[in-house]
Amino acid sequence: MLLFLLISMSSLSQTLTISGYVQDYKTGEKLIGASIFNENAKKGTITNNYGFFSIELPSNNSHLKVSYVGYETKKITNLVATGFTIIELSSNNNLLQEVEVHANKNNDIAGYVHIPIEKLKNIPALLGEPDVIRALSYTPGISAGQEGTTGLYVRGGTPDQNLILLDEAPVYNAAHFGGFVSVFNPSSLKNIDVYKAGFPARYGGRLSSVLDIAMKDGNNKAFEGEASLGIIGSNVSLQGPLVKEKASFIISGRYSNIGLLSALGNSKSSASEEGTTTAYSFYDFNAKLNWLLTKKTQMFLSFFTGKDYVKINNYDKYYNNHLALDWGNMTGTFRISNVISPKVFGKLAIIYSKFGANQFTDRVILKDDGAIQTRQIINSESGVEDITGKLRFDIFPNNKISLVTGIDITHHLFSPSVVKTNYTTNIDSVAKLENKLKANEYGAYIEGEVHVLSNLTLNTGLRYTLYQVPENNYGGLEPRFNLNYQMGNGWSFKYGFSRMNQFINLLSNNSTGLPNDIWVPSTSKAPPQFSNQSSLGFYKKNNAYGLDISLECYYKSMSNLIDYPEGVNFLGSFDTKWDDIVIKNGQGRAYGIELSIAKNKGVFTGWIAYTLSKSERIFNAINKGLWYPSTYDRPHNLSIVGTYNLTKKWSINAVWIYQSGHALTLPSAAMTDIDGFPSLVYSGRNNQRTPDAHRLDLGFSRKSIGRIEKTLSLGLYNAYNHANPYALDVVTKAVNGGKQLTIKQYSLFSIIPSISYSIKF
Amino acid sequence: MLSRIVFLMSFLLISCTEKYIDYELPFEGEKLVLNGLLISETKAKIKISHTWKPLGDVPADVSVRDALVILLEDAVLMDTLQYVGDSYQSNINIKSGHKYRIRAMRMGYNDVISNEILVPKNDVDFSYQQTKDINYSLGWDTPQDQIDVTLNDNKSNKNVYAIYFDLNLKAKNLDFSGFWESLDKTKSTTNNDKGCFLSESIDLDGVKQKIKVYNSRCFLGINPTFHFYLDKAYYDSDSFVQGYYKIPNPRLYVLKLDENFWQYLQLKSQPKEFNLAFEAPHTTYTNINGGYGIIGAASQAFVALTMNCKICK
Repeated sequence: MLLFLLISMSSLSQTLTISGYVQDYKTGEKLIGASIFNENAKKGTITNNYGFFSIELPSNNSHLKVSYVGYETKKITNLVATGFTIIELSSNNNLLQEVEVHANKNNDIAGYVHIPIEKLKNIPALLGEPDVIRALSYTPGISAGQEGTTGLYVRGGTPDQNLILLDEAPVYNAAHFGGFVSVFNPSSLKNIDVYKAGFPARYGGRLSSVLDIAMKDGNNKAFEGEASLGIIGSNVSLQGPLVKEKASFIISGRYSNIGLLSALGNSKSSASEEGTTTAYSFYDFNAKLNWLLTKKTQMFLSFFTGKDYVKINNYDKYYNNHLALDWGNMTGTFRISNVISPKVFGKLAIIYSKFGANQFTDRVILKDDGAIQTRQIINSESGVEDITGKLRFDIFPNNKISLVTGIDITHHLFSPSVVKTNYTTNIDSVAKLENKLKANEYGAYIEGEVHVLSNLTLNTGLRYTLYQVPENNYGGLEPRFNLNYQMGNGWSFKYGFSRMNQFINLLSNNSTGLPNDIWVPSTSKAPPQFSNQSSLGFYKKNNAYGLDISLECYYKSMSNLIDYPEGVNFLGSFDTKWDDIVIKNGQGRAYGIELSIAKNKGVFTGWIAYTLSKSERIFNAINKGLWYPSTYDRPHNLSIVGTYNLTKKWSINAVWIYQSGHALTLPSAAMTDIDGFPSLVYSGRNNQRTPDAHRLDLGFSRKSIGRIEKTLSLGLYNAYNHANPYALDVVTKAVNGGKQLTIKQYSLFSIIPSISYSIKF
Repeated sequence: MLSRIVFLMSFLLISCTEKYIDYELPFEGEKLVLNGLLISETKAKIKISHTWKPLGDVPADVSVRDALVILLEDAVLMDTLQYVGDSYQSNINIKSGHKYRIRAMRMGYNDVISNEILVPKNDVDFSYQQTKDINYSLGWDTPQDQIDVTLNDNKSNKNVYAIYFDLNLKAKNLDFSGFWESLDKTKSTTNNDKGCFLSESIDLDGVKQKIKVYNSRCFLGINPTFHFYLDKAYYDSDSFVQGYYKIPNPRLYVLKLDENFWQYLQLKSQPKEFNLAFEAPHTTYTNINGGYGIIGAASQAFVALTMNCKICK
């Protein structure tokens, strides 16, 4: 009723309402976060996540200036009252080199990060493959953990506290094995929004961050394609119109080349008939259909699937052991959006998401004559499956207020572990492990952006979530509040507060990306986690030099955290009674200061990001009930990213990162145990740190632009070959007839050259 | 040439480097370490040593031989332990159902005292059956005895048992590598969780014994039966030259342990190397205030075994 009243009141005034989409002139791709501004009235707005805008203008002045990073600004006159319009902007290749790291969109929110897709390709990455997760880890407050791990650690949170959405579908496993690359193929992506704080009320379900990724809609005007060949993978992407300017498609696939390399690591001894063969591969496949049903109604169907495969076979004359692991995501989104009125935009989405992991073992013992003596086959599966419905309305009563409201309903089906085997003596255990867990999650929200004064904007919201598991219901209000005060001369101040609830847990002993990650719902014994976060910052923007400076600080408290008891891990032995095993009711706190200086104009662009932070945990049953640093607490985190355009064709880019060592547990003494052997005394959790990690990555690229755009990229990962610590271990070494305890450091990646070649047509 | 390049790239990709690094670890100073298992109807034997720096040379001998060690029974001073052989021994026997504390004092070290330990009641009840005799033939899996041990636990879920075979190794000076053990899960257990079973090696009366430890909470209302296979590892000291030995006077022991010792055994092993990627080292469990180590308690029962190895000497 209130909304209706607001809309009605605004329509009585002497104004005209312009609404529509902003899109790319060449491809018809909707532009998210484009700016629409009336200079005379000093009124403006930005396009929403679907490229839609609505603006109210004085009836005698309907000129608009429309701009978007990397595109030529367009001035539009003679707009028709309450008209619906589609505004097309032309991309400017020269401007692409000046893409801002922090765009204007969502500028009201503290803790918001935006990395344009084009910028990704200018950041050197492991083995030359541009990657979203790696690029984000170079921004303040976000860390990718140590080499060889796949998680994303945002402001002292853990990887399971990140809500990762691809076309609104949750992606549970965001990276391929070992963290080489994420599952997101850059050639299929349109937009990446990251929230570390100040979460809009439309998002819920995780404590630490939201990574909202949108796939491209597909070019609805002409066919185009991309292909690349690199060390990690080969990539092909095609897009084009199905019906010109009405319907389009995009498909892209990526397949790993690593299998070719790993096959060379296989060993075989012909003399003893022993051998080991290993194979690893992964693939990603994205597809999207986009259909403009009417001028105001659009339908999307997007699909993503990706998997990792590991196969290990070892054998000799008397046995043959075969281990096969595979794990991956599948998501599908059906979305229909409609411009209900010039002031109301509606969207309905049906979403499916699945993460599954399988482990297959086949152990065969052979007789002398090669016949099978015994055979044991075990197949275990785990995963989580979601079906979600989302209904959302964007309402623009007037230029001072815009509202977003909606409801989300999700049905979760958790399969912590399902085991099938021919090994009958284990049948009792098997039956026990076949339990599936169901949960329903309902969310309703409203958020509003209110321009209180010309230089003061409030972005507030409220979300209510009800979570149902068989034995219990949980619910809670989650207030969100953001304030943006423009102080003048490019200076601004922002403050954000958000409360978040999280209803699922990741049981994982590490983050190497192996399929021993198991998702489970909150239960009455392990109730939902929740957090409160405050974040404030000062920002300075200098358009003349293309400089963006930000200084943010935050404090986040987390409750109802879980961890594993000392001496327990879930490797190879998981039980559905996980909530009896884990330690519950833990608390966490994380706080820090983040500094970012970005240069977005000129032949040299880049940024410096520095974070000073602390992240701690406390559990009654760990570390004698005292606070201890969380595993990925890294007090200092510095990234320097730069791109220098030597000529129009050649460019050089570099990343240097420096991180404090991660916290780990090392002994405080040594002693003789009850069995008479020397042993180490550990007196505190995460009481020491690994040596600091630092690394320089270099990249060179040569681009030739013509009818076919060709790019040759050369890269050098870890250019000065620094051995960054993956783990430390105290080992005994024989020295001069005696023994010595010393520390051995394990490192993963030394200097790695890379080459890739891509074409775009 | 191409294959060499590909191989080099593969090597770089999968290489994992290791190196020894200089690292400073703070040392909290030397502290006394007390270790011992108080077994009912036997004398207390406690070994005392001291801690040393976590990095650097491992000292050849850390035993402490000149400490003042006293035994408190139900909070009353009962005995001063004497250093005999390599441990401090009491003059009196430990009694089941009583509570004990050990206190040690030595110049240059902080005084240490154990928590109060209750020696479990001496009601260990078990039966055993030798279900298979030695069946020697050439092959990798013989000779072998199978012994079934059933714990008559009144379906309790509060007890912790340790089972070991005293094979009189000290007398024969033989070094047997161990034994294999198998559990018939369909009959014996309803819960095969980690944390129900442990294999450990502890010093019992001067001999390192391999013990199997079971927590009855895992059996959910049944009296479990365990099947032990004493395979050729017990006999195969020098089979080709001297043949198999028949062990003189072997005994099967069942200990009922205090919960405190179970906790210690559970946390005794620390993750190493590859496992460090999956589990952090945990805080060392101790019940010694001011120092380290463990004083456990147990009551015990045993039975003599008959080895049927016909081909053994």
